[in-house]
Amino acid sequence: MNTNPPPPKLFHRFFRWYCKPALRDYIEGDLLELYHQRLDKKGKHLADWLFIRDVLALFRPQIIKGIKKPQRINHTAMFRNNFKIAWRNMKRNKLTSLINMSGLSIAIAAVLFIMLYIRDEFKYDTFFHQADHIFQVNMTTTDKGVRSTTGGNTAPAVTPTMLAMYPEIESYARIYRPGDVMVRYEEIGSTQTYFTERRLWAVDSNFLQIFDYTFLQGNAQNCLLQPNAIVITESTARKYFGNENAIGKILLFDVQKRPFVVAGVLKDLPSQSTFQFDMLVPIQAYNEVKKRSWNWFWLQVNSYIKLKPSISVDKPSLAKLEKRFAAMVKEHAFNEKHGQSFDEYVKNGNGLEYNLMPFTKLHLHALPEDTRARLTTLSDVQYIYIFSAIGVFILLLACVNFMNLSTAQSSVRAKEVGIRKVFGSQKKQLVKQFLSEAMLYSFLSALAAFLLALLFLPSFNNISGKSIEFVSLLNGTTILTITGLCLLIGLLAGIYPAFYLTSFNPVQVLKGLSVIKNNLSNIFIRNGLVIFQFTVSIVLIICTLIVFQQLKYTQNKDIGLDKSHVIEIANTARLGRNEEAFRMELSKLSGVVAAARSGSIPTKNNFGDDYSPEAAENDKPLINNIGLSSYMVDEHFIPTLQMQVLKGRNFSTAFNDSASVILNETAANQIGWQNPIGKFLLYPGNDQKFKVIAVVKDFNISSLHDAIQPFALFHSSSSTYYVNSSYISIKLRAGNLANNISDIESTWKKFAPSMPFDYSFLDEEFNAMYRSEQRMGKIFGVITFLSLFVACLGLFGLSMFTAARRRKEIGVRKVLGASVQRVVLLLSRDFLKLVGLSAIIAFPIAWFAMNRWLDDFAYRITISWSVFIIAAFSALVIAVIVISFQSIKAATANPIKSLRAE
Amino acid sequence: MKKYQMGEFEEIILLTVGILYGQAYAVSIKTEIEGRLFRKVSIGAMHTALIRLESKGYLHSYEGERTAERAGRPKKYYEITALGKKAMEYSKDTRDSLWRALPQNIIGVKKA
Repeated sequence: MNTNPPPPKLFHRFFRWYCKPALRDYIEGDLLELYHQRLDKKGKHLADWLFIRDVLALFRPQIIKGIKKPQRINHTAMFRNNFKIAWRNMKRNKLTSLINMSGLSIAIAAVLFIMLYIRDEFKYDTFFHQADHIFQVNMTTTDKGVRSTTGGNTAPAVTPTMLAMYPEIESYARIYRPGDVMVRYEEIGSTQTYFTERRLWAVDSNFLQIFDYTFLQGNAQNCLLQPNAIVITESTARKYFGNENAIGKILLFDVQKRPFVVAGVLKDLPSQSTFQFDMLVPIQAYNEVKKRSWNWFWLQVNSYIKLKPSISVDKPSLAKLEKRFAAMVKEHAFNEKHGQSFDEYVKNGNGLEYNLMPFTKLHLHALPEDTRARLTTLSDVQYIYIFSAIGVFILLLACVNFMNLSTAQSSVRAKEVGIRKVFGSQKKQLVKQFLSEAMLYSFLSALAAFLLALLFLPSFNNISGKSIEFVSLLNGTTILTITGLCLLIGLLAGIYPAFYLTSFNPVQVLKGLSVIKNNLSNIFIRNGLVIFQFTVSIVLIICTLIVFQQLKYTQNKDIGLDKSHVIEIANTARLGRNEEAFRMELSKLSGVVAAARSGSIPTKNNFGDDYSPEAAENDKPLINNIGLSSYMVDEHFIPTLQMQVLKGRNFSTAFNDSASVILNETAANQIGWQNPIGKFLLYPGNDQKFKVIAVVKDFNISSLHDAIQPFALFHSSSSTYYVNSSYISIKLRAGNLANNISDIESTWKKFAPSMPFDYSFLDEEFNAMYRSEQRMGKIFGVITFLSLFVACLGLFGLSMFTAARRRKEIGVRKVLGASVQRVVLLLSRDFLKLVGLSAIIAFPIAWFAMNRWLDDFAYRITISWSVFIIAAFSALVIAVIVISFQSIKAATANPIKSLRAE
Repeated sequence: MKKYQMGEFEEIILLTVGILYGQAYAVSIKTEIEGRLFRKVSIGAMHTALIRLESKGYLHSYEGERTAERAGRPKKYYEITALGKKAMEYSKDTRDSLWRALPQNIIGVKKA
């Protein structure tokens, strides 16, 4: 090559910069030729100077490149070529492409579902007219310094007073739930239709003006004005009247056969309504409410207000309004009928506050009191956070996979890149090519994802308890978001491979040398990705296992009573005086072990009140007042449910138990008597005294979320308080279930030929309390499967890559005598180390998360080592299976083929 | 005619390209002119003129060999096109007619 000194660098570069590219090489050659000639004849200095002069002399318009006329790159043609190449590559590597796309499709489908879920959740209750001006009134009491919220359970007097005192309030409506009501339709000359209605509500007459559900017949203003009017939904109308016109028909309530006239029919309530009811009657129809319209402490109604449209509903304005409620409390809440003045109340360390909760927020942000007590379809905002996090995770996993696999494929694409570079492709163009390939993958995956979503929509609705239709997937916002998502995924997933693939040295590539840079950072990234995926999967496996363990525990834990083979018949008070006779008949049936009557049963509501334990002479209680929840039961209750009497005796007809009480262990321990039997509990309300005749082993009456509270059992002869109705609990012999039930039903029909027979299984009632956890468990299971699937896809691709990379090494080993097993072991060893590391990282994360969740239960399993070991082990096994596909294929390959020189 | 107009320098270059038939590229043209006419030729002016002549259609260029001296850059050879020949003839004819019209006796410039 030329060993002569070069011309002045700076000007040389200057020339190369300004000169038109079309002319550059030729003129440059001229400059250099002249320079070399001058070097010989005139020496370096002169040659340099003349060079500089020439460069400056060439700085003319015809030679300088124009900025205004850039090279016209044919973009369309370029993109078409890119996509053609991408498509061909996909067809050539069908397996890898399939793996890549399935990973992305699953991720996008998961994101789609989560978006649908979240959008549906946020749409709850937004369809009302001016929904943002509707509020639920919540009550917060301070009881001797301890603040607690009763949620939406308020007293009847609150909202009428609010309407009178505060001009911002346009209207109010209250809801009273009378519990189960027997409703009957007697068509003249035809059979009767009767059902137990569980979703019958008593509301103020303007309820349907505030909550403007769609009417099929009737209108909102006057449908509930008459005291005996009733409004029903269309499916309820069909249930009672078939296809006949419902308006004007008469429905009879309960044993007393109170008549109500159908004054309106509503379209079936949308699923996105927190309120789900079947019938509405005026609240005035219920005397117990009418009698207490002055009352501020009878917390049996839910109150709602609507603010005038002109009032602003931002947080500061609401806070100001809520502060003014204090004046109302002071003025009105403690009138003479209450027996205590406001000042006395406050002096005893008590307080009463009211605040407003936006109705649209109720679905997600309702307080636990609301969830357990009254409303039915409440969800939890935590689920939204959890699912969003999961969506992001799965997306990350899929992108990570894509990156890994694409980079792994690079050995195949190296030659193509090399040739392109030699032909003058700039790095920018190459990056664009690979990015557009990634975009193509992501858009195709999105299409596949929509198909997947269509396919799995029914199962999704099943699990999530929603009823989302496919059309909501085709909504404009969704499509826009998914398109944006595709672009983002394509970018994220494609950027690393793009830069990696375009950094090859074309000379090395075309010579056939390996270009896979196995430097430390690359290995770190690739391994890091695998570890990330498997950590997430193992955490999910552990969580799912623990959730299912806890659910199983809730089913099998000893709850102090035997809930298996127990049938509960509800509303037996309808039998009136024949109730006991009915119970006796039942106990005589061959399939029945025992039957008992009680005012309420576990999993249903109970009555609570305060009692004072007496202070005996040498046995003083620890406290002088205790709140006790209680049931009123008969003497058969304890043996039927096989509860355990620890001290003393059960109720018995041999004694007069109308003033007896049985305490549970927690109550006895809290009271603190040395010997509880024979002591007295005083009821401050009417100075009744109850003698403690037994202490019974603690039993759960609600979900295991709640610790067992102090509880008491009174005998039904005591009539210490009014009970709505009663239940009969029947313990059955195992086997012959269908026959036993039909026997019981025929017995019922003997006593109550025209009344609905409502029965349920006690263990199912207990199970129903965990519905949301069960749903969570199912969803977790699905998500675990998905993430494991995606992680395996990634591992599969990566093992393919490693096996390909080490082809020659394996060939040499085989020639030297290694067995197939040894080679497989060799290939798998590194990956298994990665999976092991992932497990170690996953353990503390999962433990921490599950501990938090389990803390929500008063009774929970302890997290045992076995779960972790099972999870790690299954992950290892799965990894081994996935890797073995590729490693066995590589280990059994013919070494001749791999060792042949290329 | 206007269509064959060209400047003095351009005409010289055209003639030189003709003289250097098959060997005419920037450096050789420059050397030739400098050698015959004893005048310095700016490489910038020359390249510009060559470009102008080519855009007028009088010259046609093609790529030549690369040499080590040029650090591997190709040469750009020029040759006269038919149109260029016509332009040269036109130029020569007009100049000649002007010369013939010069009154011999008065100016005293040697003709022929």
